[in-house]
Amino acid sequence: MEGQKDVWIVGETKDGKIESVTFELVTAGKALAQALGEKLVSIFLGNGIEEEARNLFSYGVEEVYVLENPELANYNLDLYGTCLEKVISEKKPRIVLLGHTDMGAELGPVIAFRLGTSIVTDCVELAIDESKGFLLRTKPIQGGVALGVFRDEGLPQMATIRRKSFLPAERVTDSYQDVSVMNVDLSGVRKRIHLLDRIKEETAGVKLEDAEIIVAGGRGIGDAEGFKVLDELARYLKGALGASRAACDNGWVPTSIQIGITGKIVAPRVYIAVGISGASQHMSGCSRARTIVAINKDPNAPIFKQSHFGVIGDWKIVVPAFLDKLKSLE
Amino acid sequence: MNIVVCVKEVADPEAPFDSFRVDTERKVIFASPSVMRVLSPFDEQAVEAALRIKDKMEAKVSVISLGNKLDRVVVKKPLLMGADELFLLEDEAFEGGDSFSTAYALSSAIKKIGSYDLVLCGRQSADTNAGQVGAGIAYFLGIPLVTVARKIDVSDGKARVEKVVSDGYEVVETTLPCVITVSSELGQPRYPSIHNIRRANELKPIIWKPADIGLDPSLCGKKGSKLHLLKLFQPVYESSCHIIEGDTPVEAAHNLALRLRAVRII
Amino acid sequence: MIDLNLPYLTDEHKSLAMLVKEFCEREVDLKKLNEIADQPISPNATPEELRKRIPVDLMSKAQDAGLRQLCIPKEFGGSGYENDHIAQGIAAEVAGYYGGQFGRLMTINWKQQVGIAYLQKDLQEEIYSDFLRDKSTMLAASITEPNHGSDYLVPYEEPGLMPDCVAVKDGDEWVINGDKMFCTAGGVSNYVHVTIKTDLKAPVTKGMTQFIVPTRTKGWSISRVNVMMGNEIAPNVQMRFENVRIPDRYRVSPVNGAFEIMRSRLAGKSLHMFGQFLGWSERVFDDMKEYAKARIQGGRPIIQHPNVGAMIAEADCLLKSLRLLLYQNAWECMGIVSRKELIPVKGWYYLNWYAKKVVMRIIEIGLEVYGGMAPQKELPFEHYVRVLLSVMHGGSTGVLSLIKASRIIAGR
Repeated sequence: MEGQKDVWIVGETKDGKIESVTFELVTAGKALAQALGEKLVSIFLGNGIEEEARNLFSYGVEEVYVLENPELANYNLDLYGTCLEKVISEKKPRIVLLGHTDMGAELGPVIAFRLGTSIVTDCVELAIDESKGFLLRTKPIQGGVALGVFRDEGLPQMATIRRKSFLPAERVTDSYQDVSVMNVDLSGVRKRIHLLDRIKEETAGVKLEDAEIIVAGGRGIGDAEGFKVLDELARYLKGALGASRAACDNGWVPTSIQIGITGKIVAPRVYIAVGISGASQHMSGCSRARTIVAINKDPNAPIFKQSHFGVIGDWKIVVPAFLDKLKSLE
Repeated sequence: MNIVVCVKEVADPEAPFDSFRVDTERKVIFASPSVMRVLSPFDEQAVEAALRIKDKMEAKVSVISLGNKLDRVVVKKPLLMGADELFLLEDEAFEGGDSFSTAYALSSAIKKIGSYDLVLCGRQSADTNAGQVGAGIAYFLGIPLVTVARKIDVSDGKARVEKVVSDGYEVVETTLPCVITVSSELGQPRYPSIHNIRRANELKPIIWKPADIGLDPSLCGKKGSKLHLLKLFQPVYESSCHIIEGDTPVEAAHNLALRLRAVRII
Repeated sequence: MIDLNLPYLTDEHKSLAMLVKEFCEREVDLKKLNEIADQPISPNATPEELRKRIPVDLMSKAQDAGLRQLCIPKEFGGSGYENDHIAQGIAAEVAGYYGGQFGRLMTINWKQQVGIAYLQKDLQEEIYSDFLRDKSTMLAASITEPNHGSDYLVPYEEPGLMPDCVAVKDGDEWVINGDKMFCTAGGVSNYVHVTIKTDLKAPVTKGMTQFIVPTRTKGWSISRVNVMMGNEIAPNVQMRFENVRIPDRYRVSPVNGAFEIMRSRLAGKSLHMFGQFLGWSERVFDDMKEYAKARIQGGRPIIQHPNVGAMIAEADCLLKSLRLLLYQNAWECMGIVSRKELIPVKGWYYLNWYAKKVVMRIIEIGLEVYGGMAPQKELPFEHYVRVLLSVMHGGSTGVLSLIKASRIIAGR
């Protein structure tokens, strides 16, 4: 592993602010950097984000690079891919981490292929193989039925991290340094993908990923009307409404509230799963919740093996009664 | 318009999770015999995406599947849905590959097919959940990549794609040929038609071995992989569920509310 | 899960089975269909009221997928499986397993479609095109009369029975008067395929003729709906014929030659009903097995208790043997296996008898396994017991079937 060192994290910004996944990356990266005795470095791409990127120093990041160019203001796979490939080839980090986000999930593999290395996506745990300084990446497979630990000998060692698998870092210092700004020349870069439009389909109310309490429904809800009952409970608890993939595929709720391996990953304080069987693909999305409450009329549903409290019964009766009782206890 | 779709045969991901057993010694996941073999769901949606284009214009849809001892009923399904031809990269040498060796083999096969305007595959497979083969194929063929599509329109040498993002979707445009990975938001794949089912026994796939696509077996499957699986294990569930009871469902619901209040969870 | 890894299933059969499975999983709401089936029905319900029970949207989708018309010949716009008995069997089994009541709606039609494929081409065109056009209709047939039921087991040919339904030739027409006791789905049928006495002096086997009667014909009506336990979506009705006049072109057997025709066409007749029935039983059995694996008593799942374990194994064995008998029947119909021992019509008799035995034993086993839980409405078992009682009649009692089979063995 000659000449390759340091742990790099690819930060993300949105509307000029550092995205929360970046802080999770700091936690993940820091542990690795400490184990290696090397530096934790963060790299951002964008336009006019130097000031904002500088904040990361207070979280314990030792170096911050910013690739600045007006064309990098919005994420573009070709431009970001080419820039990162160039910078990584020059600076030779040992490890490069991205969040498993809209950006990271595709950018990570693209860069890995271009750099001739491998990447493991959607990792829930990272460690250093002490004997050789390689990255051990733990990833759920078969929809979460099993966890696999992967290793390769490529450089850099790469991974994308699953949301909420690492706690967001906290401020550790008040000292800042200078951000290394690299102005990139994009004139030779072929931009083959063009963004024409962006349509928001955000549901009103509390954002799912940030909600303290989530009420989620699955196949057992049966139709869109049923979700209105769950929504009422969610609102009363000042929480958010979520759903399993089955409910979204059936068109009962928008796909933006899908929780699961290809949906949102959430880690609320309370997760109330209604009419959800507990299949791995869904549980992967919510298993980090502090308390899981399951309501299902099938006593054999796997969810009861993964929840903390449960009621075996028809949700149509249980949920309204539950809400009524909560209200009466006010 | 030539469309190539890559599909993978997997154990039915909808099977109950206790029908999968993790063998930590051999580092394999065994599916019980009752688990059916199916097309990886996102791949099936990729076939649907191709057929929707074929509904609107002259197009030839070629399907490729890589593996060993492939279930003919499973891999023929795209043909029964309306695809035109099926290539199987079927050999022991192709087994156990990672995203790299898989993408490499598929790209070699696509090059052998010759003309391609569009390459489609699922955003990730139901078994490995890696989500990289699309990127790999795009790399090896030197063409653009758009991931997580929920709608694809092609015209005048361009693809206009609605791409799923966490708070909605983006509309992007790229030139053909390109690779597009497909997500379930595309919608339900069509049923195989009875007309095609009746021909099912006569439909024959073309089978390719590593040599047929110009690859040495050492570049395929497990031998050609870069990633190694060190350890495989089942996640441990620590919680023991406290079932709240009651003489009636209403009473149980009330007890649940009381309990959660009492321990200050709600 | 239905095991499709069977040597006699081709890729085509398996693909068809998977289509039926997928369709049921995507489109069939088992609960909703059971609710429709359980809706109380008056014995005096009108044809209009009966039509309202038919889930027309679902039937439309099933037709779009090529399933509703599975056994209509291709030349008449169907899917063309009228001669592939193995396909019919596996489609019925899968529909029963994954589709519950939907499976029943399909197999009632498939069975009749096969029978109609033997008729004159112009009638086939008329009946099939009407069926394809009208998604609320079902195909129906009827034989039984009040005084000639399957409990008619006299060991001799008794002439001159008091018939309740008679057809008399009048010029170019036939005039039908009387009642037909049982007709599955007759109330929502546009054309009924009936077997009626035409020679009052001859014994039943030599004095009946088959006709197609358009139900819009003046004089046809439903005299009552047979309200049966575990009511179906398309209930069984009793039909009345009051001077119903039909042209001779609607006669579909030689005069007085109905029984010969029926016997020669019995082959494969059982595959639909018993296939669906088998699939349904397999589904209930799988639920029972899961229940026994999950229910812990005395520290162990009850499936490990020897008594329960043995019964579960017995049920498994019975279902496997019924499955083999069903497909043996299919093989013989298709000439895959030679017809030396078990000729197809004997196969129907045996299936008729054996299926009932198996189901009764499954019910007994279910009562033991579920114990006090058995009558719980949430359990599919409860529904199964209720509904099977109304589908098990299947046209003959078990004993009558054995008697008929014995006659074949004796060479009569």
